[in-house]
Amino acid sequence: MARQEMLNSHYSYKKKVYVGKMKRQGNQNSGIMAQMMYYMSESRLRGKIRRITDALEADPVDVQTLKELTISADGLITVDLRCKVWTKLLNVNAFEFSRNQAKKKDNSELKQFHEHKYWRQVNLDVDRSHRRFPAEMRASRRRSLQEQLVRVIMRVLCQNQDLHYYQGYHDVAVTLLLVVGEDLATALLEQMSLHQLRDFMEGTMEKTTKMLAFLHPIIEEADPELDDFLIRSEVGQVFALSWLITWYGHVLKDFATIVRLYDFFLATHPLMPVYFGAALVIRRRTDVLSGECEMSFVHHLLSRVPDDLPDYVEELITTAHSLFCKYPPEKLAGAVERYLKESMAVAKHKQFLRELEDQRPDSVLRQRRKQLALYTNNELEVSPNFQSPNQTNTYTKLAVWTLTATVGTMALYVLSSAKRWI
Amino acid sequence: MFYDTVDEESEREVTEQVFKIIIIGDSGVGKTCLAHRFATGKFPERTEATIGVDFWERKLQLNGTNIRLQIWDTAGQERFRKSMVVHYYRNVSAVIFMYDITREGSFRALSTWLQEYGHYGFDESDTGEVPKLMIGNKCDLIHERIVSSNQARKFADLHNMPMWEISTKNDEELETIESIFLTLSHKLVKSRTFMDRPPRYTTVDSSTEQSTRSRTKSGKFRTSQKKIKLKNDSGNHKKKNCCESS
Repeated sequence: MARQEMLNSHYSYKKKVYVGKMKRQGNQNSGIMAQMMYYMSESRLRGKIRRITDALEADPVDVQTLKELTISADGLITVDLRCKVWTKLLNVNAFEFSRNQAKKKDNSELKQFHEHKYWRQVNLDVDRSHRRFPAEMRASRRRSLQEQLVRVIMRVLCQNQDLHYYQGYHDVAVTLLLVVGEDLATALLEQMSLHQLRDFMEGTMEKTTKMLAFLHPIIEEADPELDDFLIRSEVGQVFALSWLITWYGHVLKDFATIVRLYDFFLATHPLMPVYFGAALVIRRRTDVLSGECEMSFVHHLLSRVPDDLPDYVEELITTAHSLFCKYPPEKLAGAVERYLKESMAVAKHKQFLRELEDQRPDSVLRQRRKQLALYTNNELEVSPNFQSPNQTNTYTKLAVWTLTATVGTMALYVLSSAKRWI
Repeated sequence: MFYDTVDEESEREVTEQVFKIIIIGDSGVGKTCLAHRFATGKFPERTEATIGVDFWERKLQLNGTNIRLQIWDTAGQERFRKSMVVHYYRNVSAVIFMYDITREGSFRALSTWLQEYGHYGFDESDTGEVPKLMIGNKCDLIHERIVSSNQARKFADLHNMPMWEISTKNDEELETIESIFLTLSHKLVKSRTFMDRPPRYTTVDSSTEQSTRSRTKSGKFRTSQKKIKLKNDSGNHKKKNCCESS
């Protein structure tokens, strides 16, 4: 009898591990075991938060550990950590740009926006992006966020004239905006556009198409039967287009899942969204194989992401990650090779990774900014004409030198004239 | 969104005809609204930018024939149509060119759309012309109208297209939308019956049908039509008026 009970409790313990992992059920399950597991998962999360904070404070920032923690279960957990870690994963200095934001809302910027060739398209898409904001949000708040969204996108586009806007880019921008706010979102979006999203922002969609075509070789390696079915159905890969270019922001309803995926994609290779897509298709193999082998049927089935995806997103992330390790892009043959040669996102990725290694922790950056701010506020006014931080630096130095020289000359003059008076 | 998965036993006896209708036009002219309106009867309160392609489906019965209309809704932004949407021009039964009566740009772009369609769309079905329709949307914003009916009709005549001006938003116009699609389906069924049936149903199609059946588990049978031949009878509907019902 006692043994039976033990077995039972053992069983329930195992079951509760799973429950504990899925936080949403956590405390509601009564029973001492469930509560214990709840607290254990709490302490696990707390431990993880501490490790993330430690990695952030290391000098230079321990990006490798940050990446590992970001990929592992639950991602970055809180909004606050996301703000901090995303900037490190994208090599953005959160304390460098924010001081020239105040002057940005002037008319010259708006005029520049209006003249931009994508102004109308951006507005059209942002106006129709209601669904991406929380349903309970007040309409006025949403409208103001939508205005911010337009500014975020237009600033990146105006500063990088060779980047082309695509429908779906606003889905990426809104995700960043809702997590980190306008100023930081602009900086993060710019870095993403120059790296991970670079291939989508060419003049044509050619490279995007090639990147999408990766989907088949991955599935072919992992599940030949399924890939054969997909090929026979002539479904192509356009069903995964919005997955790739919006990082699933366009198709998922649950915001927590979207940001969890952003964690994952920011910490990994630019092609990871394709591997995640492959993992998703493979997971649904029974649905696919039991349906008709016909283009419209398969397209319809696959282009809609299952509503219960949030329940197994961690599993999919693990699968995608192991698919990537098992079949890395370099090992996939054929058309894929050609893409790899052409892709700017992939070419830049190695360089980008090296750059990430050399970042200072926020405490140092904040200190630096404070010093600089003290300096600039006391000695001189920042002219509103300064465009970029680099320029500001040169101008500041120049001004300081001039001022020193002037003061020096004045002092000499005063001294010499004083002498004369005496 | 909408995909009719109800398996009706009665449909087993009759074969179903599938027609693929593609809607193209500039971004924001209301392509998704039209597809949504026709497929569900409702005006979508909120639509989003369409990325890639998406389709809606509705089953109809016309004179005892079961037909399924697949309405393919496409992304409007230029970059998508050049590399993605083109893939979906193949094997279509009809094309709807759509513009916004309050935006001249969307009307002027129609010639580019027509050209592009002409360029890509005829590689397989060059045996007969695919019916083209032209629809101007947003008639509920009549006071903001920029593209006049005359201007639009001239353009439509020039390209042998029947032309309608509608509002997907107005509930009263649901009938117009229905009738547009009904007329179109009548025409498609008729042309397929006359042009296609005798040779294909006795020889090629019977085998194709068999193979489709064996693979289908959902109980829906469809004939596969890779080629759709249609008589060039655009002269008939050239004279149809705006908002005309069937």
